[in-house]
Amino acid sequence: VKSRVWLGLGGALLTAGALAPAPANAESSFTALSSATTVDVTVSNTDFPVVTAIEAAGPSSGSSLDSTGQGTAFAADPYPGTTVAELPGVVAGLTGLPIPADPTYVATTSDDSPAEFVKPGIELQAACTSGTKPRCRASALSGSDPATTTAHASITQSSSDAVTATAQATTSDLSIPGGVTLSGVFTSATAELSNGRLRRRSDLTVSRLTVAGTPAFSLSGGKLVVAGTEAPVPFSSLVAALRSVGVEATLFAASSTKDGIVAPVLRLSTVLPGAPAVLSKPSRVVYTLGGADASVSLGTFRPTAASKGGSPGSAGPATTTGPPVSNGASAPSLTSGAAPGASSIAPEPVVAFPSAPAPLARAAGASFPSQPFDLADVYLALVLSAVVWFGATQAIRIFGVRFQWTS
Amino acid sequence: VDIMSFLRTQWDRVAGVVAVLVGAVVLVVGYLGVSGTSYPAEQLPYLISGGLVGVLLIAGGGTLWLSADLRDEWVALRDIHEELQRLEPEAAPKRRRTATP
Repeated sequence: VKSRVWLGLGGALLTAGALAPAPANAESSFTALSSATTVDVTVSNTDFPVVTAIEAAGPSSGSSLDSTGQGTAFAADPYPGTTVAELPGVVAGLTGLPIPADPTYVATTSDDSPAEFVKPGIELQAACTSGTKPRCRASALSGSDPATTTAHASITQSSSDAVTATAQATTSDLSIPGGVTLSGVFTSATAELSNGRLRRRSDLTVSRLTVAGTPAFSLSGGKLVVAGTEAPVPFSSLVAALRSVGVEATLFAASSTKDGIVAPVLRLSTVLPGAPAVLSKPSRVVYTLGGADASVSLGTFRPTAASKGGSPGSAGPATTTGPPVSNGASAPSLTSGAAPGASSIAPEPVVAFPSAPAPLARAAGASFPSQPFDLADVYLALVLSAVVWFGATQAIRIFGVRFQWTS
Repeated sequence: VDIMSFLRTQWDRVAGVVAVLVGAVVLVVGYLGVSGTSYPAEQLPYLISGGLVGVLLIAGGGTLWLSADLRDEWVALRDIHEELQRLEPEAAPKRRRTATP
């Protein structure tokens, strides 16, 4: 009898082991994106010819990588948007004319050699490596040694179930009309996928914000403190101080998306008086600091947002519901900056996540096509069927067997 | 109550209850796994190992439980039948006497 008991216990243990839910296999498809832009400046005036707003951003860098090992990387300063940056290559390809590519925009893919542009005051690099640990990275440095503004974006697949997308941007000094100076601006966004779990990190730090020559505030980890101290102050204090010199300030908190994170964004805007000889109306200037986003989306490859209403790189700055967005969120077709006239290379369709603050990110995220169903719903249906089955057997057992039929 | 003899005589009822309980636990654990990720490739193992196996365990357990009750009925019927057979020799002479004119 004892041997039977032990056999039964052993069998039960083996059965329980077999029935235990298996660990998820993380070898899955993914698409990772990261982009960083140090400063985005938009000047709007209705007296501008053709367009009412002009945008200049940079340095900027961006990278993408998917589970097939294919990736793209670009670095630019200034960054006029992908469409404009690729325009010379597209025109050269269509017309056959030797139109030189924009030298301040370098890009590459996993199938191409690294691209680089180095001149005094500017250094752009973009490289992708394949193999067991595919990686794409791009960096844009501007300013004399040491660089005063930098933008780094990289994506690394360190193992079959670990992908890290990182974007960082730094600005040493930025002066805004009105006597406002920002020093030591650092922004970062990291999305790290490991063992099927996504971890997000972001930061926006302004070491010193000077108003009218007086160091007033510091911003670190989303908290505003009095410069040189740890004393926290409400953001309204900064708003009031800046408003006294004609600068409006808005701080957008970090926004976690389904697949990543958008770093906090500080938007400063001011109005410049019009110049009668050129512009009769005043110009509104908007500075956006903190353009960094990173994402790792699992599962299906989705169509680019360009089909959802234009290039995401050009769509952001024109919006009025939020601050201008950085342009590096997507990495659509790339043309090597070192090869004028080369035909455009259409990469795998990737998600073009908006590197916009919360309202834009949520709105755009909601418009993306998503998985048509959730297996959790199927699972609940299975649970319901189990409950119904169990209820039916119990009903038959109680009313059909334990008690006599009354019919 | 001797546990071993109880298990021997009520094995189907015990197995049914245990299967239902284990199935419920497997379903709960599986749901935690399925709801923990939105990626179908990661949900499928839980759907199969947790969902399908849980359903089968509960269904099989419920059937075993029902079978145990049915077996009780058959045992009761057999007892009645044996009791009738035991009473048959005593009842037969009486019936013969009653039948004699």
